[in-house]
Amino acid sequence: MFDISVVLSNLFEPMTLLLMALSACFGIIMGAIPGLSGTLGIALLMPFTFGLEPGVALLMLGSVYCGSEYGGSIPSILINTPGTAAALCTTFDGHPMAQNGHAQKALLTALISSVFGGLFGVCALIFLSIPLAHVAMSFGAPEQFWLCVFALTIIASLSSGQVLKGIIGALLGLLFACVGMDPITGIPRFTFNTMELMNGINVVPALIGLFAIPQALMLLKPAGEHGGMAPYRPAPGVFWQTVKEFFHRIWVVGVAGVVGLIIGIMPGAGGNIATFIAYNEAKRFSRKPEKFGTGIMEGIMAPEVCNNAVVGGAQIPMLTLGIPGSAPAAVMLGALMTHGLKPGFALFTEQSDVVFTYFIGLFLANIMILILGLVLIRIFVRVLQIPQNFLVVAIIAMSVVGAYSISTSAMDVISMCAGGLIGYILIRYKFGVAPMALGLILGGMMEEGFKLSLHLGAAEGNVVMFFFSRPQSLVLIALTVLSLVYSIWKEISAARKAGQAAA
Amino acid sequence: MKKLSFIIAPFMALSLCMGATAQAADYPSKPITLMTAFNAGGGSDVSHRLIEKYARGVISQPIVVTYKPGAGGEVGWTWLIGARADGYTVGGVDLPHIVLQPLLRAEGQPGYKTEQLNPLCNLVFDPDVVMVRKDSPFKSLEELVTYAKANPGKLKVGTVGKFTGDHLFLMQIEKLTGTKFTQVPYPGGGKAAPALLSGEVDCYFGSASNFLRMEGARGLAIATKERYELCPDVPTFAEQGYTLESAKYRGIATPPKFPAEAQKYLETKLAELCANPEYQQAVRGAGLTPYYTNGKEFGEIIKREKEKAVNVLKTYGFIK
Repeated sequence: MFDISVVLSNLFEPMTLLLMALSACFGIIMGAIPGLSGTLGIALLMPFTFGLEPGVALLMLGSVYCGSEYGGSIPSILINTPGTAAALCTTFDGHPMAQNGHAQKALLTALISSVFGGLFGVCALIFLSIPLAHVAMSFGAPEQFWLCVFALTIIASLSSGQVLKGIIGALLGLLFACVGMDPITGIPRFTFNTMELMNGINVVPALIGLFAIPQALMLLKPAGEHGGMAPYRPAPGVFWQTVKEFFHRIWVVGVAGVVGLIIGIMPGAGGNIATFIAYNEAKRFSRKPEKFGTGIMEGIMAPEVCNNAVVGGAQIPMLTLGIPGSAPAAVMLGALMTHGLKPGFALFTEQSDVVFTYFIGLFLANIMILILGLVLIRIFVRVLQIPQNFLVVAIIAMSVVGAYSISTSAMDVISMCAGGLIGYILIRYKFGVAPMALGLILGGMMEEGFKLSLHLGAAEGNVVMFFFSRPQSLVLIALTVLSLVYSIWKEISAARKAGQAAA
Repeated sequence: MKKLSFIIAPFMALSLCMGATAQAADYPSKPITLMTAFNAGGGSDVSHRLIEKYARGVISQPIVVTYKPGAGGEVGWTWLIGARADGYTVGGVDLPHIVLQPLLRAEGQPGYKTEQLNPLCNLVFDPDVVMVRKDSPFKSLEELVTYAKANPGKLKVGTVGKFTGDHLFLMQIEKLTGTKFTQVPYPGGGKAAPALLSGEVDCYFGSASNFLRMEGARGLAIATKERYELCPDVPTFAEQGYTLESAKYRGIATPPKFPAEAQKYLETKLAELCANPEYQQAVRGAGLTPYYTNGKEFGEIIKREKEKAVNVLKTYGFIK
């Protein structure tokens, strides 16, 4: 085992703590700016860690990762634009709550949830890394496909009452996700012989467009109409009140934490998909599912707990098997190797001081985020005091800069603008942007899982059996069917109730 | 205090160079961009980050890694040939990728040509390995080949994609042993490795660097001349009666019309950097073998690999 005194003396060096706090703050800001993400933040910070000891270096990068997952919620709540793709679901309830005049409470809920989710993930990382490593192995290509199918059933609850419109939106998203090279054969599709479209439509700029541009246009409408914001009034004592209400709903942490952890461990899935599932499961477990989407705490807690729990989950297979569970974890893996650490079970015994310095440091980083968040919220909330006509210009400018900075490509700016136009049309005709966003996010992963399964099934000799016979697949199929039956039953009973009320 | 200076130094370097202009006499006068055509976290990223790390003190300006990922490197390399040839943009290139893509590109599809990439130097070498799971019934290459011959197409082989180096390696093995496998092209090592470990595929024909970072895999044969230093217990193809050498090379290329002076400077400085034992140790730690060659020799490797690829692809009828 490791030497606790070495770990603690490593950790409580003032310089280490200072570097961690700065990194966490940097992460929060990277997360809060739409387009910039934790992945980019870690990659940018990496050269600055070369001279440091591996433990401290990893901690700095880990702090950025944790911070960015929290930071993403801030624009979701304040301007209805997700700061990171994993904070997309936070817009569903976070922004309505802010519109109702409770921006501060929404931001605090996101902060507390992020910290709890992060701690949940780190605990799993410390105590369950080795047993859970093999979970990563049990998800194969067919499970990847079925997980996406299961995630698609969420459309029913994202667009209750308007299921057909939801399905149209999601299909649009899936269609756009087909642009670019075929993930398996490399054949270009809908690229019009341009290099720019070879890699497909980049999801993040498209999401910025879908959310930010319609939001900016909505703000142009006279106050009081849809899209307007209630004036911000600071409320004293709101922190303790939020903490109290948070603990009344602590069950959400369990549900969303487990979802985040498991999907985090799956190679390549990450927080983008996990948060949708967590939001949906919290809604299903709730006694008042009809309130979701109107600005309730549970709706903010679920995605925020979840995307921070992914941070721990995604690092489990990265550290134990050298297989990253998410995009930022992939960059972390690169950093690990650049610092001369080799992932594997041996890392936990041979380099236990480094590993446990990192784990306990991550615990500390989450506490730092709580403190930093409390300070930063006071600054961020001032966004609401900016006159709307300035805010509109700022949102559009930020969207352009954010989209461009992802990979300094003009194509991303075009995707963002196109996304904005489509988003506005979708909202104007009451389709909502969430189903299309879901389709865009799932498309690539779903296609990849499907095609790989076709290859594997063909080699086995029976494609259909391959899709429907694996036990892990059957669990996901059962969940999909249950989810569909449940949604249909709910729609029917809601229609009947409405019928009775009318009669 | 030492720690702090490490943090501040890159910032100072960045701010100093902002106002500088590119003049031949004082080259380099601003940071040099090293383009990586793959996502952060991959094998190319690690080898470029090590260059970035050890360039300090050797090259008077920092090296800055930037990512242009997509389409198996095609996006980045096409970007590179269009980059400004002012001496401040270079790019990492991988073999056999840069010879395969232009050969197999769909008609009408734009993209770089192999010859447009100016070889600057090779950095690392990463041989190909036949891998199975630790508890696989196949204990040697011979057993695998015998089974594959008796059951053509039954064994599933993971690779990192169609028409990649792994695929070329697979085709060469098939040709050499007269066997037939079913290829399962995964979108990267991060997906192919778990597929092997979970038994989704029977073998993985891929890079030694992926083999070395994986737990629970066994190497049946490695395509090097001698036993490979980083995993000496894996027998070579030659030992088992087949003549096969296959590897990936990662080097650096410059855009067309790159200033000769800058090319010369970087070639010399990178040779110096690559001779640093600490750097070499770090490269080995990342599962790669340091293998510096100058631009001319790298150009010859590219030519040699191209001939080999054309040969294999012709046999399989992928090109005429």
